[in-house]
Amino acid sequence: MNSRNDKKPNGFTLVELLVVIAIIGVMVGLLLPAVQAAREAARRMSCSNNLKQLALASHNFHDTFGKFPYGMLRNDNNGWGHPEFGTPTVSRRYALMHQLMMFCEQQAFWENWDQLTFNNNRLSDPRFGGDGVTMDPTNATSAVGQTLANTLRCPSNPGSMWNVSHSPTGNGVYARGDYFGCAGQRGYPGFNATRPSLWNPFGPGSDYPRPPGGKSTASQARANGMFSRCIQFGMRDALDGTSNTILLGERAYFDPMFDQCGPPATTTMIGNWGWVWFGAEGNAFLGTGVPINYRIRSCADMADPVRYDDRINAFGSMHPGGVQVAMTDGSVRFVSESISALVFNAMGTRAGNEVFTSEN
Amino acid sequence: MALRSSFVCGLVALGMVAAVGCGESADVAKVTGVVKLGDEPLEFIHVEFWPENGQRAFGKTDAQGRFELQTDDRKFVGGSPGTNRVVLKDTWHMKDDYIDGGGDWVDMSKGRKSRIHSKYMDALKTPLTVQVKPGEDNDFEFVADPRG
Repeated sequence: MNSRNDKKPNGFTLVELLVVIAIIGVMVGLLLPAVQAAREAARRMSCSNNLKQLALASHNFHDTFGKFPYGMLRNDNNGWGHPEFGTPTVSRRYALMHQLMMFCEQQAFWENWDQLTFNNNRLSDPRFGGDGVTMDPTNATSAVGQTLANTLRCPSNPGSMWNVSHSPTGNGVYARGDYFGCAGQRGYPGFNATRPSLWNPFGPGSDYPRPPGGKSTASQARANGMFSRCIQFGMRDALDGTSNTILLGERAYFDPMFDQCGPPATTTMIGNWGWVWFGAEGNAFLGTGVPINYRIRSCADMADPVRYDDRINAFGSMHPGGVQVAMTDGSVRFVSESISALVFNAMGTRAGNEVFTSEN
Repeated sequence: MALRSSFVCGLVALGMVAAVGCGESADVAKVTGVVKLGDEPLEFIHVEFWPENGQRAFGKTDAQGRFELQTDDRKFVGGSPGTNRVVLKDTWHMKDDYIDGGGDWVDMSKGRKSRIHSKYMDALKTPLTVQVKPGEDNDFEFVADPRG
């Protein structure tokens, strides 16, 4: 018989092999972007977990002290004083996250912090003329300012965990934090004797009506969010409802035009904002009075005080399409950047009496 | 025949790609205007238009008090059509450098105050609301109250 017709081929032809390889290639090509997306999804989940932990820490703080922490505390006598504290004799200041560390399993950090002399908590940096060891030779624990709990970093944010501090008293490095308190529609700049507060409707010389019953008028009324300088708010102050008021949010540390347009090697790099332990508005607060993920678009923006301040206030993230925020009730939400900017404004105020429906 | 139909298909596909590619066309209308305090035109006023939906737009007044809006991302000239709340921020007291390279404050503000009422600074509370009409040149005049 004809053996050629009986025998079945027991191998692949070249064409079959090529087709299989091509299919595998296509599938890998489809898969690779999905892997990147899955990685980002994991980072986003980790970030959302951080926000949840910080919101819970705020609630524990509230349980212990009856109020949320100070947005920042800065009662040194350089124009940043506060009637409640009188005239201080030592500079004692810190930002929001410092006070939450006790409730984030960072008791050691709290105990090593020099609560009385602020500059002792900072190391000088050899790259900027210091010896890298001392800011104050008598202080043995000065590395604490460079310490950073993982809870304070969003894994999606690029850049170093330290940034550079330039100040008249010496240059140093600080740990950089990614999470901030919501100061209402605008947190930076705050009141300062030598700087006009562009936003602050209650600032010096303002004719904006002050809410009744505030015991320390200007400071108490300064911000309309859950955190402010030298004052503490409680759950009862969230008159818009704790689930309608943002407690904490995140900042995006990616802004090429910001870095490009600022003078080199100064604090005007975006990555040098957000010294997590430092008591200043730009390092403690964000404001909802700026569209989500607002960025510097040209050097003209950097030179414009309004646009520049907008950037420091902006909520933003490297998660595609929006930001994550912790609400005052402790829930964590993703807010799309396509939300109406007016609604987002209203989400930041604790007692604005606005009626709005927020999506997602 | 097959060649011809595939040619037609290709054309259709090309047309679709082109249509999608033009998706970024600006949904904005040209907006200009003037800001005054009484009869006096105001320079150094930062003007923001906050739409109900869509992108915020901004502009700055010149010596004649005139401004022209561009979108927040600086990609388009104009503002979003529809109802817009108008925010005015006086920056005359910040018109020079106000923060130096070291991040330190420069004292240039003592005694200087905003010339207009601070109610215009708040997007939620501003009394100014306008309708921006699509496809037209919009021109507005804002006469601000002085600071009280």
